[in-house]
Amino acid sequence: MLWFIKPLRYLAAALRDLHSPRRIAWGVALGMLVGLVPKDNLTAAVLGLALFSLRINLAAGTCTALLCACLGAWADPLTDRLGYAVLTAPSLVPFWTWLFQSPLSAWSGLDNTIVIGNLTLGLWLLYPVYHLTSRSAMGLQRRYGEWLAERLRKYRIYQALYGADLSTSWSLGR
Amino acid sequence: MIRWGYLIPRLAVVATLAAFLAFGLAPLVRWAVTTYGSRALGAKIEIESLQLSLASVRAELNGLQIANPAAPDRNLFRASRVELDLDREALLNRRLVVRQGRLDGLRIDDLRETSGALDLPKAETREAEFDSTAFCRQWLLPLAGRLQEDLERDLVTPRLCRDLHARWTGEYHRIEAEVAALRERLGRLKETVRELREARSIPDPRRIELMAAELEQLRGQLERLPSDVRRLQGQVQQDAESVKQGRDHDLAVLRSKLKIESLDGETLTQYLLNDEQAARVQELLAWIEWTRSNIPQPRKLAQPQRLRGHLVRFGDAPPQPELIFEQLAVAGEFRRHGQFVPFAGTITGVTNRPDLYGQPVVVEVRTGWETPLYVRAVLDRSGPTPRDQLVIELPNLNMPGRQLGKPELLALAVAPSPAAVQLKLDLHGDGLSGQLVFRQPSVQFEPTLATAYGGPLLQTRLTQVLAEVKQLSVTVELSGSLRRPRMQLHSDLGPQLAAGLTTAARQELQARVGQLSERVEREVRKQVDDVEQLVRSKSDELLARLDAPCAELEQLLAAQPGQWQLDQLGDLPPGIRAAQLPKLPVGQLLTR
Repeated sequence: MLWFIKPLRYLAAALRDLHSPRRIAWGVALGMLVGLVPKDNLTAAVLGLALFSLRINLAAGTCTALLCACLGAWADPLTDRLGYAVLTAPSLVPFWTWLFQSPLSAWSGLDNTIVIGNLTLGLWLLYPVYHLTSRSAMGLQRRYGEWLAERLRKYRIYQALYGADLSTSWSLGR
Repeated sequence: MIRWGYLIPRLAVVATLAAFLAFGLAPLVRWAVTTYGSRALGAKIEIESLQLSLASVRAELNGLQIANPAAPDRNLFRASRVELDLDREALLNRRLVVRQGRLDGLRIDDLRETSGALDLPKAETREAEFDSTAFCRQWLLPLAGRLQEDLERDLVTPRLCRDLHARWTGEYHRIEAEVAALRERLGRLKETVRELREARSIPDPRRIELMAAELEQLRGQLERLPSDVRRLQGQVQQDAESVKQGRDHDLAVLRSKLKIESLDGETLTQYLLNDEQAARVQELLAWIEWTRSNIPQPRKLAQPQRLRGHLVRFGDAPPQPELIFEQLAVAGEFRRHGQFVPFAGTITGVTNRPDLYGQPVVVEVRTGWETPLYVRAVLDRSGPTPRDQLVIELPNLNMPGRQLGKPELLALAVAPSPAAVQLKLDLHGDGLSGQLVFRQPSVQFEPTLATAYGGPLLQTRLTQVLAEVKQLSVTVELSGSLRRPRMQLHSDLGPQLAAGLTTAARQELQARVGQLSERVEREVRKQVDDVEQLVRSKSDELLARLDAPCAELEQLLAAQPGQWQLDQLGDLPPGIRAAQLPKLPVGQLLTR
């Protein structure tokens, strides 16, 4: 019944979790990767599953995924060329040949230049994004963490969302 | 310690995924097929239920209905059950390959309970209709005109005889009137002569002179009239000769009427069979055109927007189509003349990329033994230009009774009997070539011919002629394009009917000409005899009637004792006969 407040609850959780910047950073990095890779293939499904399965900040991940999905379309001309370069790199051809003769590989969509291009771009940006986000989150935590948490706790809406999250976590935990 | 708070949500995700694959995938595929398939086809595609088994790699569809875009109230086909055995390995490679499939309870052209909406433009009329007006004007009307022609109008003999009879009658009336007038004058003259002769004094010389002149005139007439009568007797021979010449002319004219230009058999074939065969061919071509328009063009499966990059292939394996139906067994029924006819067959080589598959789609269908139908269609899309071959054989078709042509002109009622139809079509691109052969080995015709074109008289003769025609064979040569096909009809019916019509018309004309010739001969003989008899009788009668006036005139001119000698008056000198007569010595001139 409360599905429509989930994104707000995730946002509240992100703000609450400022004391765990690594989770936020991994959420943003993985969300970026999921958002960049085109959907309707097994690669996107596996990445999505990883995003939802790993103990990371889901709010940051989903928000970043949505943002990168919109931005990713603009990068398609670039990723198309990047993907083609990756797929046709002589050193990688034996690997691709082996991979695409394996079962289910056709569902991965990795033989598509845009898919592999976006995946490559995402993987290439993964650590820098994680690092930058992590450093930024830690900086924010140091400066405004306690103050922000205190201020937020005063808002009833935050309390309500935080309570709902705690309630969900508690019931699932039992 | 198990962290349930962490594990349960993840397990829930996995369970949801598994539940989706188990319960949600089939409805999703069903929704995708009905939604996108309907849009692609332009007509409703309905599936009652769809079961997918990922374990056995098998799909089962129940209650599949595909509406006919051209007739929304009908199904293109309906299958009560469709079973598809998929190739697991191909599926892992993102290809849908149906190794074997089976369509049961297939019904083609079935009535739908609800409409499957689509508005396709109606097929344009491809074949110009047979110009029956021109046919009537060029072929039937001349023939009928010849039969309805007033043959007597051109004959000269009857008119000649009538004229001759009138002339001769008039001639004799004239002579008779002249004789009658002459007799009357003679009577008056006799009275005058009697008065003169019995006169006691010398008659008035002027009166004598007038009387003498009149006597002379009368004598002249009496001498001329017999010669006139005899001349007429001679004239009758000449007239009889001219009548005979007229008779010869008339017989020649009548013989010329027998020369009828033969009807063109091909034109008659067009008139009788064009509509029937054109309808048959057009219906078939409409089906073919519609079918071809609905065969998906060789193309890759549509990809989402962001997947439209380039696919890079690895290895030596040639690219394979994403979708292949290697073999489909079909069994069902189709509607024909309101009845469902069961059929069974196979379809092989259906794919979305025939250019990669390299093999054509082959459809083979057979119906039951009662009305066997064999269809073999080879649809080749492997090349740049579509090439289709179609063979349809109906070796034992029960043709119902039907009517060829139009009853208001010329029609043939064909009795029900078995027929055989064979169609071979070759379509290369839009180009069309082929042949339709229609044979009805034992056939009976009943002609109907409008009164204006010969009526019952010719119809009776035509029936006799058509009794000899035992077989109807039609060959339609097809060429042109699918949208503008050209048909060339060949049949033995047209020439046979044309020959029959010509013969019937000729026989009818011959009979009428024969009758007229006899009538002319008879008329000529009668007229000549009548005239001769008239001349003979009238001449004798007139000559006999002229004898009496001659005798009377002679008697009048003869000298009578004690009366004036009238002849002498004529010998008087001209000067005396005038005013000087009173001065003449009458005693010397007239003796008593």
